[in-house]
Amino acid sequence: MSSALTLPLQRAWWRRKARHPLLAQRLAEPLPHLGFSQTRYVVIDLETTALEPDAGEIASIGWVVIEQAAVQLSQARHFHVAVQNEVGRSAVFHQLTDSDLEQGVALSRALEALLEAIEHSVLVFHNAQLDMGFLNQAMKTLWGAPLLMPVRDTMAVERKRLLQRSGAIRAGDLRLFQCRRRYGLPDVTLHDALGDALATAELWLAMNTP
Amino acid sequence: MVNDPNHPEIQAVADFLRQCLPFNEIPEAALQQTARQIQIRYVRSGQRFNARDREYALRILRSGAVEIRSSQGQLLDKLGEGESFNIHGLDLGEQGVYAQAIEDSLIYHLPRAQYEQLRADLRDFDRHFHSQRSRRLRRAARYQPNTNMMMLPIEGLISRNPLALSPEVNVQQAAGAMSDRRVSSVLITEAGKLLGIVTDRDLRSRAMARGLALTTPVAEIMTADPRTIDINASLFDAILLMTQQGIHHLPVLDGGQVAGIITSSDLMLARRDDPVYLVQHLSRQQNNTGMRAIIDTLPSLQVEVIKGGMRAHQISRVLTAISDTVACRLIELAQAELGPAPVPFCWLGFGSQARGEQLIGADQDNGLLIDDRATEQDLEWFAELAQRVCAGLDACGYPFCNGKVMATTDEWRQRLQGWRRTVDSWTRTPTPDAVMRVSIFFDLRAVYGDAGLCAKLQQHMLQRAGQNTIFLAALAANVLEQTPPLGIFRRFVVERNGEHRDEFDIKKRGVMPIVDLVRIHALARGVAAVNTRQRLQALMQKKALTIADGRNLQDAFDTIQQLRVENQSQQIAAAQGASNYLNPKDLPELERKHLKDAFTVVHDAQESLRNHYRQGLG
Repeated sequence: MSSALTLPLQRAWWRRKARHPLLAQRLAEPLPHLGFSQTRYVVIDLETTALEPDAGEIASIGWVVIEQAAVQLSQARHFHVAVQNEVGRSAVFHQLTDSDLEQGVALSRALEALLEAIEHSVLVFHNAQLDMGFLNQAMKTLWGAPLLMPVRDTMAVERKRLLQRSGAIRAGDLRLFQCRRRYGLPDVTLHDALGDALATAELWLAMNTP
Repeated sequence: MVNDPNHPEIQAVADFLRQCLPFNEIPEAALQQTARQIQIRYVRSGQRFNARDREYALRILRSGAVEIRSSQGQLLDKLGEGESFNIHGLDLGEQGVYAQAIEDSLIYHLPRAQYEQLRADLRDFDRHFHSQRSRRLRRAARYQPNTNMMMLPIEGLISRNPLALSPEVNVQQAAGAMSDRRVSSVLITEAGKLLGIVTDRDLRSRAMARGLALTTPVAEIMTADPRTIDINASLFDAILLMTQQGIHHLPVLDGGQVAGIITSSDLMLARRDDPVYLVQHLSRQQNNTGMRAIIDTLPSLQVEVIKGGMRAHQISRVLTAISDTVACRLIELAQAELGPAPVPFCWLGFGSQARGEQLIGADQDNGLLIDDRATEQDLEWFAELAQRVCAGLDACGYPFCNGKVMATTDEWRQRLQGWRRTVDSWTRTPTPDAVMRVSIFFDLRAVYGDAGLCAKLQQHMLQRAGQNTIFLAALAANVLEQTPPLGIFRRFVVERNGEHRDEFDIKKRGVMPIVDLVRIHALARGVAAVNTRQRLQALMQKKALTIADGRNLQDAFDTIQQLRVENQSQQIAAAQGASNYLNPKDLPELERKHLKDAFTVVHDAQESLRNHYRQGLG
């Protein structure tokens, strides 16, 4: 992940290489600098066919938008992506089958929609490293530059908070549903990209409500 | 899976809405469409919403809890997961109403446009919000008691005009002033501004223990910049602050100015009147003396809650719960000494206790129902239990029953088979004495122990009584002897001589005629409920009474009971003993009129009962 200092430099470097006008625009626009309630967040979750960008593909993308400290479900989007290779074992996790995915859209179309949605926004993930790895790889392959946007990570926030509080983190403590429980958020059925993005967004609200 | 990426199905939200009234009734497509319009917010406990909020929306609780309160802080409604409110809509019915999160809550907002669209499109959806909630709220605003005193503002509890001295006053003068005013703390102020506080303890530990001169200025021993609390804070806030800080005195500020002081004993006093607290506290007492001390506070409790708007049926429910608790506690204490019961049993409450209609000054009406397996020797254990519990009740302020309707009387302490035989003989030969007993006995309820035994006995009783018209007619004749105190030209009939000259007994002439005649209807129709309001409900449902007659009787009952309770409260406040005698001339014109109307309803109902059983009455 880019540190706050190097992100503007990296963006300046890559925006000239970007071969898609939307990607170039995203890398050129000023970075958001206001507080939580004035910032637009796009909370994203990916379903992938493997845990490494080199080994798998993006199978679906879901996102919800937070504006003025409220999740705006009218801006929620959910894309199933037509994968190139068979889905393999992770279908068990994601409840997607090859036939579902055959009805999906081209990855480029889903990512274009994403590029449009994240204008002047901060991206939020639960475990950003994993999903950003896939997004950067895909953007680079398609359009020649990574998605160098400001990113927040609910998992990282919670890891830091738990370490400060108890000094130790047990296995499973950082899983999304465990984190939600600690904020008094209701249990939800996970494992659909949009559902996970929404669950993450609610957690982000709870983390940022004073 | 057909899915439009730009209009996705948001399953988590749709699944939740489907479980919420009235969203469960809207068609699937509209539900999905609705889910996509939701905005989600997270609020911390304490967050308030009122009609001044810019945002007009239906708020649906996804998790957490919210209270709706009137502008005076009276609790109107409490909402949990899946329930919703529109604060602007509520404000139209109850101005100044506000909602407050009492837990961290996740709230779904349905924006105004979509909310009103749904109401316009779907009649059932509209009806839910239009009538039910607003009517419920109006009713609640009138009747709901302040059961949750913890959330009331401290304003009403603080001592105004607290002792305040300037910082240069010396320790001796301060101690003198505190003694004169009989207070345990003094505020140190300068030009109305709070500088510090000095308590009894400070005088002890910071002045005397250190051997300071009596001429030392109080400024040297005061706690400077003490913790304060705002006048709008709740009782709960005050208790929390005191507990957390380990302090007993809190200066109260109103807009930065000293408005008074609140102490931990003020708070104890406030909590003593909370019925919930009373029941809890009773069940922890170890002896009769402890319970008696609590029971003795009940009259003043009644005065307070009636003044606060509690209705007769509510206070009687509370008082019944309290006498149940006392009986249960006495049984537990007795068992702790006598050892466990040899066979299952059930402690029965009769009369007003059974009906949940007890008021101040009730005597005890109880009995023991024992499992048939009990041996003669076992029965001795129960005789001893009855002895202890009845004596305990008397000691706690529930006097022995004049008619000996008590578990200590052999006839009122029997095995199930014995009870059945007694019921049989009463119904077979309805002598005046039997009929009198029946009218007490047929209102019965399990207070402690095996409620199944009580249900069996009640079943038997309903079977015997319901089909026996001769018995019912005898019962009716007895009931009809007591008429409402209304003469010709609707004038009140009062006692002409004696202690209660110009008064009438509102219980005997007003309450009991309704209770009695509702009981007969209930027995004739096999209604198992014993509470008068519940019996009326059941009779209307079975169409044994028309809705109009049933409602009229219920209104009459409520009106008379309310007057009776208010009359009692006035007697208590005037330091007379609470009695059931009332002088109609003491009533305001309107209430006199209501009372006459109520008596007329009773009179008419008696007439129709008389006609119904005319043959049997001979």
